Amino acid sequence: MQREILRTEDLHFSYHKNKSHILQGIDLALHEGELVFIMGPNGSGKTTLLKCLGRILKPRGAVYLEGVEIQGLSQNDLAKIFGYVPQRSELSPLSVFDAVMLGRKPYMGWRPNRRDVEVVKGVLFMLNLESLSAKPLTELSGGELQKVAIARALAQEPKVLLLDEPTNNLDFASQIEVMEIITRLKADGISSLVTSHDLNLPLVYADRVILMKDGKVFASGDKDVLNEETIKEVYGVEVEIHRLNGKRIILPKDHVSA
Amino acid sequence: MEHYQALEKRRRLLGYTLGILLILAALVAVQMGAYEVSLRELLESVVIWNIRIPRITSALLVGAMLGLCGGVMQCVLRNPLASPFTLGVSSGAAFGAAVAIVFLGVGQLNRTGLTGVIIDNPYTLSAFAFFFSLVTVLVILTLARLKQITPAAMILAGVAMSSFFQAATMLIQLFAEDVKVAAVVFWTFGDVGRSNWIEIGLMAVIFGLVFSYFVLRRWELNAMLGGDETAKSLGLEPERFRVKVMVLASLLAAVGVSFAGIIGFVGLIAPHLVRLLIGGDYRYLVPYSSLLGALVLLLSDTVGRTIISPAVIPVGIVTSFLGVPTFLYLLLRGERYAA
Repeated sequence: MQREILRTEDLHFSYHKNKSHILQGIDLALHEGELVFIMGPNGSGKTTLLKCLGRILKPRGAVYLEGVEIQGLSQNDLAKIFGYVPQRSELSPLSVFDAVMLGRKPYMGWRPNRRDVEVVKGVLFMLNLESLSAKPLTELSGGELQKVAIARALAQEPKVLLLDEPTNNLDFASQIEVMEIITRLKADGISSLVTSHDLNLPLVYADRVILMKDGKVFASGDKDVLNEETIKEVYGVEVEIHRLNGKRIILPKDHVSA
Repeated sequence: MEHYQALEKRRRLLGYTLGILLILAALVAVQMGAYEVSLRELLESVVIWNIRIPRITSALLVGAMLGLCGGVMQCVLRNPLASPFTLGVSSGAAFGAAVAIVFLGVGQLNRTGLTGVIIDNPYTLSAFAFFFSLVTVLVILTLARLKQITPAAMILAGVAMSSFFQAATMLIQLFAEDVKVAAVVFWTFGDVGRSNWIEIGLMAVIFGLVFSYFVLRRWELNAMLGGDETAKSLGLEPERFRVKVMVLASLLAAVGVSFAGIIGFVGLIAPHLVRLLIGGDYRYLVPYSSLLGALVLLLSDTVGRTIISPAVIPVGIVTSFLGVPTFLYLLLRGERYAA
């Protein structure tokens, strides 16, 4: 078993006092270089969980990083640990290079130093974004924009990447490209938590799956967590799981067009 | 990478160009006016040293303050319409001036000139203008703090405060003697020719300090462009930073307006012109908005001084007349960086 990087204990969150909790006692663990998918229907708390881990929202309960409680850390220190890629990146008029350089903000003094520039160049090279360096974000396609958001998070040199539906709104080729990038990071010891609505995506890429329902962890474990019963229970739909050359595919049951 | 280096080069070039244009404009402005001077006379003339150069310096400073103020407000409120004007800072100042003139009698009308207001006690008036422009901002920021309102709602609150102070100013005018009403109206015209060297020094110090702060925080400003969540994930505390920026930007606007009256549009046009030319990177927007604001205001004032010389058209009127068509033209050219 790999070294444990992140662990949460009894994480609770609600947007308003006295309102019902969106997260209700989340316990989870993440290991070094692990790619974990967080699945669940709309409103199950996936996005909120990611935001609570990155301290974009402040939850009740404990989050431990390599065994140390992160409560006392400043926002700036947290930014060196967690790279957060939001569901939708807000468009800013910065060039790709400068947008990725923002990922160095937590390390930066008065101005970017040589190492900052090196890191940004390296990340741009790795994600094949070099030719777009001077382009403003407003001129990029959805896939390019998502890659820039990931590049910025990587420039933070994080231990944990939090990716909120990174393949949303992307064409098929870009979906694969983005997932391949995330998979490659495992070799560098970077752990990723990824949310998705595509049930087949974790079957291809996940090391582990956490299935959420109503702000709680419904089930967690390897890919087999996603089966006919759990999906029926969590999403309320009937599916059938096919096997093809040892791989599994989830399809809707009795679909009309067949 | 070559593309990026070319972009950087273009950005630096704009800086040099603006700097040179500013120096040229200042030289032209010194020479031109109701009283034409040759270069030799220039150095000896009392008119130049006591009237024209303070006026030019004041135009440069007020322009830079307004340009910078608009630029950073547009960033942290994430709204291209944010400016000292739209946020009610100017209306608050005008109200303060009206109170000072009407109730404390600090101003009187001098009927000889076109902009003939003599303010007996300019510091009282400036202090009132300053106080009420800050009141506007504090109300907006308190709302933001208590109710956690969005940046868009902050703009709306500013528009509301602006209307309130305009109505209050009109109410005062309604019951005031006509001479005092005229003095209030003239004050609101906005004129950079009122400041003496002490006031200019004060403006320079405040501008210098606030400008340095924003230069130091240029990467934070850039991080704010991507929204609060992104800013947080990059290690910022966006709510706190927004309040700081708004307080400092309002301070700039309040100081500028209280010494020079209401000058619209520079705070809006300067940062947008820079964006049209080189994009929205605050490493460049902070200095260039200031430079361009200074340039726009100086040119407008020079036009105002000379076009129907010896009479002087207040610069506030000129900025709007020249600024609006220029701005619309550039927007309609449809540059990619618009808004």
